Amino acid sequence: MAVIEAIETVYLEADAASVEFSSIPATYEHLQFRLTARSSYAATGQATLDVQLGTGGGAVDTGTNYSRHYMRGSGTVDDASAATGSTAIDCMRAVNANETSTKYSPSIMDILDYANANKNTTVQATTWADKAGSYPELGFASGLWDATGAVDRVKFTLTGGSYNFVRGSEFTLYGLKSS
Amino acid sequence: MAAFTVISHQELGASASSVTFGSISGSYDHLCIKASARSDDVQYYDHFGIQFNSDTASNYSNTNLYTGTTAPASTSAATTQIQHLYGITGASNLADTFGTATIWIPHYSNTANFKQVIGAGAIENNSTTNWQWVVSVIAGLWSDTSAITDIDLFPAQGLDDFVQYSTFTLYGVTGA
Repeated sequence: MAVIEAIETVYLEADAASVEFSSIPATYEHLQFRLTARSSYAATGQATLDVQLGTGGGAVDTGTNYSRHYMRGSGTVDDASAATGSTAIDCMRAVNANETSTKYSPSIMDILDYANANKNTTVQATTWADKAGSYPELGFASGLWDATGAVDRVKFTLTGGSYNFVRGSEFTLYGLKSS
Repeated sequence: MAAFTVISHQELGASASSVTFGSISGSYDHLCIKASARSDDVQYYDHFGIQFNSDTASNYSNTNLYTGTTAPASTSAATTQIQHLYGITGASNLADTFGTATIWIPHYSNTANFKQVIGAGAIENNSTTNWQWVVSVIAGLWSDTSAITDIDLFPAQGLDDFVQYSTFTLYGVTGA
């Protein structure tokens, strides 16, 4: 049996405000998302790609229970930022709508030990995005959901739902086993 | 044949000063470790020490890019371990919160080359205070051409212990 299994792929045939994975089984050790996303955001910079998590078969948690830490490089600039008490983990980026229409931002996000009831949920992500009027941005980030329930739902939005994922954005969820 | 194989998975039932993956077969092309770890060091953060084949001599070096503030920094070191992969939360961190790390060891059994490591780690926390969180990436080198058969991981900040529920998964990755 394969150690890494594709649980689900979502390919957007039309623009969408969110992408959600539900009923994620607790039978894996780790989860990994691989995605390429483009946003409808058309002002300066780029949209943040936000993550919300859920457990127990319910909706994702929209409370202020998330934290995020983000290190990036863009041109000759490198810096980092921190946030806590947030309603989502804004740990990735999606390419700006003013960029070439065939550009999509790649990101990989791990959720390690996502079903362990002894641990708060933590994520780790690497992301890259072109942004209009500036250099592309390479980011490495971590995030915290202050909850110990097994993650069974993951929702992606752009800057708090303010923008759409553009048609052609694609998300694949993998499960990694430990035996 | 599957591209990924679980070689070993360890979830600590009690504190331990290190985790060892021993007798690693040379039948894969690459190794990958995914860890979710916390230590009993009194600080907010801890970092992985990595040694191969029980070699404790000064045959290791690493370069890392990391930050626990708004200003990323880079350091290099040549020492007795690959170090400064910040992926272990310390005892002062938010309870029940474990660090994350992914460590790749490409071509670990190629006896023509020194061994390289690429890693990424994070110490997450519900805090924006400097050094109560850390994100980091590293490149490491073991200046030895031996095939890697044993890997030791340990909390290197204060040589304390990994705590209960820390998990470590070693994958073997095959090529075509």
